Amino acid sequence: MVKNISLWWVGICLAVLAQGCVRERELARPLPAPHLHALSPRFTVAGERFNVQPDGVSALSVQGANLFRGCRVRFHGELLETVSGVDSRYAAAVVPPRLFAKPGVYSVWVELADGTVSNPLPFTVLPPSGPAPQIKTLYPDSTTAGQVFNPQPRGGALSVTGANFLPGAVVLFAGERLLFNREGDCLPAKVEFRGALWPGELFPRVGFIVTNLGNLWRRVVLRLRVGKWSLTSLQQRLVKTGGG
Amino acid sequence: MELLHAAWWSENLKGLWTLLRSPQVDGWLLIRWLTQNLLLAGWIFMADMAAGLALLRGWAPRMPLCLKWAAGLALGSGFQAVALFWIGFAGGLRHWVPGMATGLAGAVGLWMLALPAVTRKSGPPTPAWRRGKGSWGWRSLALAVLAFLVLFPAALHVCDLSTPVVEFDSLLYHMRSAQQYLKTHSLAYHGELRYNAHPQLNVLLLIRSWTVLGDDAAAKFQNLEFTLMLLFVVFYAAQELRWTSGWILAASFVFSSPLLWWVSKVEYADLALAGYAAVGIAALFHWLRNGESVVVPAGLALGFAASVKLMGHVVAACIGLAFLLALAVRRTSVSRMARSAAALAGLASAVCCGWWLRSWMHTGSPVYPFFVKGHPDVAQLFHNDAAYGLGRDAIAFLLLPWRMMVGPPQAFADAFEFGPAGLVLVAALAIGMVRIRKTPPPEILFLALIIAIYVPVWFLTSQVMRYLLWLLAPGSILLIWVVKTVHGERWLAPTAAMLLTSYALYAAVLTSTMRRYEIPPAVTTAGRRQALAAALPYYPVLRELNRLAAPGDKTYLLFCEEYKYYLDTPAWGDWFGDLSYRWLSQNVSVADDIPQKLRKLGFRWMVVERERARRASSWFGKGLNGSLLLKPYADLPGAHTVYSDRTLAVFRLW
Repeated sequence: MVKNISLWWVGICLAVLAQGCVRERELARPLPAPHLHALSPRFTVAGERFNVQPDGVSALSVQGANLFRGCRVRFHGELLETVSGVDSRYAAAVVPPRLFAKPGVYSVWVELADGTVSNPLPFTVLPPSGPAPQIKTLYPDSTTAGQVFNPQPRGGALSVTGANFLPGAVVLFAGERLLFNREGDCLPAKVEFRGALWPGELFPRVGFIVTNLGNLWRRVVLRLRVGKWSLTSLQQRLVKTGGG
Repeated sequence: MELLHAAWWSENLKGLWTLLRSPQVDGWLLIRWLTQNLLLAGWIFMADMAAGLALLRGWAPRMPLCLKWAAGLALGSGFQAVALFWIGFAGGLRHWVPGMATGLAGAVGLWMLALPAVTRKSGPPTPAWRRGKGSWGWRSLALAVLAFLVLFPAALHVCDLSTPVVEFDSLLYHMRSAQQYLKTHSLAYHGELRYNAHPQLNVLLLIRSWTVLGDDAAAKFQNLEFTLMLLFVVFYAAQELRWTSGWILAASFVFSSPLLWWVSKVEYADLALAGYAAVGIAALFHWLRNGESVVVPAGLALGFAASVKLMGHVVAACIGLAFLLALAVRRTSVSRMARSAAALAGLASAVCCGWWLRSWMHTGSPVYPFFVKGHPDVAQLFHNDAAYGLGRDAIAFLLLPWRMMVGPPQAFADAFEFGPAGLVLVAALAIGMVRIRKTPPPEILFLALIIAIYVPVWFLTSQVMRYLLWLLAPGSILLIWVVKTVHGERWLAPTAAMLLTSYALYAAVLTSTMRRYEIPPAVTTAGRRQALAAALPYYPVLRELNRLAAPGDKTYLLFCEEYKYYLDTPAWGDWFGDLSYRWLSQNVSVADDIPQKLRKLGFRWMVVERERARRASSWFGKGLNGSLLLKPYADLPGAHTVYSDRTLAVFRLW
């Protein structure tokens, strides 16, 4: 019995020692802070749903780091219903329509359950109508058919300067949307667009269009002169046969 | 069955591994924290054991070792809980009290145990421990395999014990009551809590673990003590039946139940009930088998079982009745039977009387809401209970063992199935009836009678599957007796044990809190909050509400009664009790008038869970279905929307 009691006392002493095993400051340690890299989408038109889900709601996706399960996206300070990925690198939130009913630039950030917040990223709600985009200059404003101009790694570069180019503005060339430079995306005055000009019969009457999202009826059209163009042998055959 | 699917295993084990490797988890800190909690919990259990053994020295000195250990734990913890009850009843339940009381009880127990042995009434314990003979030739190999099989679920179980409080009943009843008692330092009845007047002995033990371990999530470590009681009873049964290795079969039988794993990982009352009932049954079994009166520990253990919950009263009554019938079979004199019955009932009542008194003082009934004339909740309770199960006819009764294994669990009001134990027991009893041609001894009859009395009562009243959990212990004793008697030690027992152990391993993973909620074990405050936010989508919303609301602001929770646990403000709203949904539905012609009605009563906030409100809309007549309350993202006239999504909304009413 004495032996048993000694064992008990040893156990009790161990337990008392263990009381100080994990310190208070260790328990108060915060989680790694979340960080946002990107939003998708970054803009919408006031009152216009985006990234529409099967049940008709708009969803905003955020990419970043340490977006642990249970984190919440805040939109202009309001808590949103949020779902996080298993790898903690993305989260998606449902945005109620009332939050993007009015134009403006709203901050979006992610908050962990203990209140730790990420860096904010802007989400732009564009007005349904507004100042029309204006194109002042185009460089180059002519090229040889079939020849890539101002060569860049992903095609030719076209520089457009103007005014009122809102985020989400797109450049349509011959009805096709051109890839544009991300850096110029939000510049109000000058935007650089990149695209390879395609040769041939498409160009003679085509317009060069810049249009702001949600502002389709205020497009500005510049004529693009395409000089010294020639048809490839395939194109010549197509012209002759009518494409048949 | 998922048990046999390799994909299920690989997917879940990979998921658990991913959780443990998450940046949220600091492995070294987790190991240290779990070790600390295990040591502290061990300290509590040792104190209980010391106090319990000291009490047993005077009351039942000749008990076999394992039964003594089981009874020591039961008596020590039970007395602690009763002491905390009376301290709380007097309004002195402060944070330091449970730890101090446990330390004091342990120290006194050790001192009494260290006294010279002259106070002993007789010699050493019954040598059943040494009498047992192992019959498996390959016992060592089986033990090695079992040790391997035990390590993984044990580690997983300890991690699960460190997860935050997330289960519905824990949030609504047990931990909510514990929270309220700690906040008010007393056990005063509070209409805000559902059936807080009920006996809740285990809640006081949860409070003890909470305060000593310093964390509400760690309160679950108390469950290890109840599990130890069950294990000691299993060991005792194997020794008593002179089949030492029989404990492996009995333990695998007990732990094959997913329900048991589940309640042992969360803050439910049923494990405490199973633990105390097992000790009471084992003590009475010992009495019937050896003729040694252990009336005091048996009566107290039954009293502790009855003090866990109202269903515990029924359990204790069934055990007592079965014991009296077994005594009658044993041809005990009527006067002795009456004395035994009176002693058992008196001891059990002495333990329970505090709860009855408390309930009577605050509600006018010792077992509120029963025996209150015309109380609407009683009818509602019976109505709810009648909905559980898959029928009450003879076929449903015969199919019960099968349905205990295949479910569906939701039909029996639980998250998991009972497991294969029912089928195994029925099979064992069938084999026993064919192969054993003699009348079973009274102690075996006693076990069979317990099951025979309780199961029909359960079947005809409330078919909640976890209310059968406490039958695992008597079932396991019955099983090893049958197997031993039919000489099935060589092939039948190892085969059954292997199958049941596989199922137990499956059940351990299936019911894992980490797996179910996809949350890592939480150590830091930030980690726990993040785990809560992941497990309970409403948690961040409630934190937002806590941030906005003033301390005294009254909040009404519409169809989300369990949210109270994580709300800092006083909150009402429940199916039962004060200011219930029934009360709210009265005198409201249109559901959208609800904010106005609440505002008049001084409520400043309202939270509604839309999906549950939709399901319960019939309570509000036609009004609720078309109400803006249920419409996602809709604003409510006369209220400011603080938060609104597809499932949940928070409105400011002022």
